[in-house]
Amino acid sequence: MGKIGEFEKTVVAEPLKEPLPAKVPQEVPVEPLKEPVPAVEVSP
Amino acid sequence: MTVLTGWRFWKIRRTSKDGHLWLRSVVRNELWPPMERFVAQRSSYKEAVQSGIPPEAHSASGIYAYKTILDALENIDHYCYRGTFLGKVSLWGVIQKHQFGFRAQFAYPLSLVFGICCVCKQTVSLKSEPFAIGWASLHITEDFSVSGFLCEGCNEKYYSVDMDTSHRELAELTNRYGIEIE
Repeated sequence: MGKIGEFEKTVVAEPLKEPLPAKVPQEVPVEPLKEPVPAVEVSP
Repeated sequence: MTVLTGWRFWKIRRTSKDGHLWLRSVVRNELWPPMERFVAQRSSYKEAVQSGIPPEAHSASGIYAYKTILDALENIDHYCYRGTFLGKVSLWGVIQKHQFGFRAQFAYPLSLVFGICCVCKQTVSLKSEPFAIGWASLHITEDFSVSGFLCEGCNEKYYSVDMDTSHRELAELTNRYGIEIE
C-alpha cells in the first residue's frame, strides 16, 4: 500500500464478535417421503 | 474499542483451478479468503508466521488501509493502483494508527465502492456508472489471471469487453465474500 504517514499511536480493537458476514447455510435436499400409497379400488 | 473502518485497494484474481474470483492484495501476492478474517503477516516470505502477529509500532508490518477515501485517492498517482478496486475494510485486533492510515492485525472487506480505470485512472462508481473488467494472464504463471478495471470510455475505445459479463463477475465476487457494492 501507499504512504500512510507518520506513526501516531497503538490502539486495540477487540470487537465482541468479529465483523464477518454471516454464512448462509446450504440448503439440504429433502428426500420426498416414500409412503406406500394405498391402492384405490374403484367400484363399477 | 470496536472495529475501525478504513479504505483500501484490491485487485480481483480468478484462479484457473476452480475458476473462483478472489480479492487480492495490490502490493503483495496474497489472496483474501472469503468469509474468514484476513490475517497480517510479518513478511511476504514463506517462513512468515501466518497466525496474526500483531503489527509492531515502528515497523512496516500489518494490513494497510487509509483513514479516508481522500487519503486513498491521493495515492493513486504514486502507486500501482491502476485497474484496481477501492472499498471499505473492517480492521481489528492491534492497530497502529498513522497520520493517513492504519496497519492492522486483522481485516475483512466491508464493501467495494469504486474502480480505478487501468488506462485513464478515472474513478468510477461501481454502483451507478458503467464499467468493464478485462482479464489478463500474467507472464509469471498461467495459474491465474488478474483483473484490469476499465471505465466505459476506455473500454469502448480500446477493448470492447462485454459489460454485462463484467457486472455479473463483480456480483459473483461480492456474493462470495458476502459484501456489498456501495
